[in-house]
Amino acid sequence: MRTFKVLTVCGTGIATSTVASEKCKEMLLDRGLNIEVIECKATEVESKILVYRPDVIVHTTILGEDVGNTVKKIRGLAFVTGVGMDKLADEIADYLKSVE
Amino acid sequence: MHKGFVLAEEVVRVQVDVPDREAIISLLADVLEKEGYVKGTYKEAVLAREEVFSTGLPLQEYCVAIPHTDAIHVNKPMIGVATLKNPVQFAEMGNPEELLDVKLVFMLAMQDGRDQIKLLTQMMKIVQDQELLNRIYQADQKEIVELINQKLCME
Repeated sequence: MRTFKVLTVCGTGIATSTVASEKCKEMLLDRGLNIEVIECKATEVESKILVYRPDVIVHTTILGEDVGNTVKKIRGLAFVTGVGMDKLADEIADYLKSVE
Repeated sequence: MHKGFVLAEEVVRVQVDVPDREAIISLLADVLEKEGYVKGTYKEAVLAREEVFSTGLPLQEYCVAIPHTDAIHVNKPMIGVATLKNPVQFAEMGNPEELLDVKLVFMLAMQDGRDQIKLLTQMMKIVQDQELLNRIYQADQKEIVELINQKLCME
């Protein structure tokens, strides 16, 4: 299986995206996926897509409708609140398996 | 874990009665600034950021908000804590259309680096522990400090 790349995004790139990224990585590894995660600020999304080429974007903050549209975007708030976290991890895992 | 971080009693306010989100952010920012944890630019930066990147977290009983801003406005890491007598509305993180009744505010003054990530991860464990949030909500200043420091020191 290849290694999937996840880009987690929040407003500052040091707070909730970091938390989401750790949780996301842990839960997707549990689901048998090879995962690599990096974090960035909302304002950096487009440039990160160009250099990092993520398979999916998990964002805890709002992204403009015209931002990051070349990549599948999934809201990652559940990784921060803990509410609905398993369902979210399943959703991301299913998506990644579907694009392998 | 991050032995460097201990929640200070001076930055905790209990059962605060404020009209809105802006008022509680201002109040905690003033406290953090007075105690030297943040720069004079912190308050405006948090207020402005909250407009764009809201930080309300939808939880079962008590919704929590974690307003924060970039590390350049911070001198030393700290978390301003307030329990609110009457809830104020914060927009949900990543979903500004959704307004949440927030009764607990953890205002983060963060700096870059590994320790901050650990601190935040621990913070999120507090947020995800509804029973602990209940206890914090009902506690006085001193008890809140004990509850949070205990939780932050575990690992």
